[in-house]
Amino acid sequence: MIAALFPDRTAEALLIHLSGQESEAAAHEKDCLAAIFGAKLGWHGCKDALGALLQGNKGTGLLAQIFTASADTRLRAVLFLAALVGVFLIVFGGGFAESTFLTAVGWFRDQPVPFSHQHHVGSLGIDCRYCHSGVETSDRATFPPTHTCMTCHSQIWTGAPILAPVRQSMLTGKPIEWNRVSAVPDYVYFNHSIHIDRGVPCVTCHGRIDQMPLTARAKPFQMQWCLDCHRDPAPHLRPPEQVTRMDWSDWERDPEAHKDYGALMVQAYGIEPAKLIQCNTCHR
Amino acid sequence: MAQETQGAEGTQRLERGEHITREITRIPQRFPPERVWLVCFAASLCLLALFAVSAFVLFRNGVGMWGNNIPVNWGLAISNYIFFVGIGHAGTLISAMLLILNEHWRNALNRFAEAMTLVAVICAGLYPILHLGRYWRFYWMAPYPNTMDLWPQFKSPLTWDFFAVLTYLIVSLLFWYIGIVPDLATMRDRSKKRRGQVLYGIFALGWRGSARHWQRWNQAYRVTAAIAVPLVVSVHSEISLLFAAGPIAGWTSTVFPPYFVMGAAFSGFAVVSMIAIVLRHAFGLHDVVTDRHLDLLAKLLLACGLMTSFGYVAEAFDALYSGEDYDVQTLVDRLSGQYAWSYWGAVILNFVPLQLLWWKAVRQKPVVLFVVGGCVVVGMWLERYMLLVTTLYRDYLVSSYGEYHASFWEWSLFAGMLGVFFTPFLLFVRYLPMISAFEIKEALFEDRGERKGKAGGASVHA
Repeated sequence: MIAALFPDRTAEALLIHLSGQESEAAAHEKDCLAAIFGAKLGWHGCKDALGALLQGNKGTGLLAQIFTASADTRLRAVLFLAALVGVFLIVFGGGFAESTFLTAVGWFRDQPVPFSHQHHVGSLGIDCRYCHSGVETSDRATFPPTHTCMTCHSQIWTGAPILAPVRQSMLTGKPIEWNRVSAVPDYVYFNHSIHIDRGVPCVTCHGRIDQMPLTARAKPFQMQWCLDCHRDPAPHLRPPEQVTRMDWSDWERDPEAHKDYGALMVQAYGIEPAKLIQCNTCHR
Repeated sequence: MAQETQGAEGTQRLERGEHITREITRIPQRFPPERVWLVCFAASLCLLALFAVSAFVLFRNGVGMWGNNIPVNWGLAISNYIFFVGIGHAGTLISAMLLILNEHWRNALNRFAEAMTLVAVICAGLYPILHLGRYWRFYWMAPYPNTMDLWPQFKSPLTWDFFAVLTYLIVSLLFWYIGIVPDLATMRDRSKKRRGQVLYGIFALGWRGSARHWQRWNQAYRVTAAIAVPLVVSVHSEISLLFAAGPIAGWTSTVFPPYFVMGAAFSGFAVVSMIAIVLRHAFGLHDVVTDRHLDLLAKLLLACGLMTSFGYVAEAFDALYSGEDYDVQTLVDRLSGQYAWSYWGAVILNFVPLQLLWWKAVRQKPVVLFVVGGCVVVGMWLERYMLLVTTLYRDYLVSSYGEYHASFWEWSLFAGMLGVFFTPFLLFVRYLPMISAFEIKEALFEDRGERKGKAGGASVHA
């Protein structure tokens, strides 16, 4: 059809001109074509019709037969939604990884006996090491054996129903099965004794245990949290003899008074932060 | 007078173009060798099932199922990985490099070469994950903010590898898809069935072939090609650094990056030649993939082969020239050690049949070219095996000498991986225009000196 209209030109040469080359001839052809098709199709429709014709379509209505007019919009909407879902998944994944649902921060665990640290530490003032006796000498803080409980509870609250599992354990010799609150994965070699010896207070990792009626994890125990301290240990160091102290607000209230303590102790102990963040410090 | 001749020629060319479009788009519509295809597809599905079984067994039992252990800790998995990435390179070379160089003969080969690249890169990408052991942690290779405060080791070639292969996959996919869009539109318009119209139509993205479409397409295609060209060199150079960045005698030659790139292109051209010969024979495409195309492919194969042979010489020279005991010992182990068969197998299969291609008459004989290509593919596979095993099996310490024998599950995974390769490729051959119809037509016009108007608008011929 095009060849019939413009016998002296091949159709594709025409299209080259129409595709944007500004010249007098092109302008003329544009006018001619617009005059022929323009009234019916409009200028863009006219170009599309020509393109379709050259591609071998017989006629220009093929697209309309396959897809409805809104198909394009719907495809774009689907692509946009897919991108949106992708963004949502990333944001959700990031939030989920940091959430207390995964880290268990603040989630109380059920225990065979509802032991209250608030009562024993906060009110009675029992030192952490009275029960967790391994903390200064071994990698584990250790759970107290039932005998430790019985040092007092053989004398007081001897008939309390709430302590029945403790008495049962004493009778049978079978330890109470406490549910672990603060745990690192088994591929992490954590050693309590060195942290206590260098003066990282209990409260740094375990929180205000003296205010917990039931025990919950206070810190996320994620690797990034470990590294926060290992990269720069100085501000976290305290005098080792006060390591079980829970309330350090007076120390923190007056940073000027203690500003040199951490740095000096890092020097004195020979702590090298570069070594503290090597993989095999914790993963052996 | 002159105008009339031009008009007549133009009509002729349009008819010839129409013929080519019909010839190529007819294949997915009325697939002529349906039974042969079904047999091939069934076979490749069996291989795919073998892959699934091998991968399942591997995932269940761990890499202990394989024969690799200290000192040869990289076995078939890594040599096959390099092999598959390597054959992909020819696709990118043909499609991107030759597009930018304006070599029109590429148009008969680029589409299926790119498809081959795509499936080869997928096969290659699977291997490191299968090799990982803790495959479920493979995403740790990606740098993403995480609660471990951990990032990949950016100084390690293994990290570069992750980026190289991923980039290669994405760019290859984009390039292939952009290239196929106009032909998908043709398929859509020629489909008689509603299902075909809709499926081709969706992926044709509303292509109507208007001047504006062609202009945008040209820009996108050429920009993607320009991005793809450096990948031809970078990806395999980087893979050579997986070896060369370590302190292992036998992997320290400075020729490694170009040696690997040329080897990759060499094996790739061999595969492209073989595929071209098979497709041309199966679908009677002798007027599209002509003898001249085979001739040019054979020339490229010869050139790449000779450059690869230079790598062999340079590698041996490096060892001798350095005079390092361990380097020389590794060379001796290669030439005469327990795995000497892999070295001499590679040398003979790669370079002896290749010499036939010096003669034009031989280059245009499909059967001979196919056999030479087959020899090169096997030879280059042996080369990768040789590079890994002959270097590692005798370590610095005599006490840690060891042997490597691939286990049954390694071989079955390799056979299965051929299923991963052929299944999508056969689907591509069956359902998509495997040769770029509109680019052939474009070349048809340009080759006859029809270069009117600006070069950018020239591709409106389709």
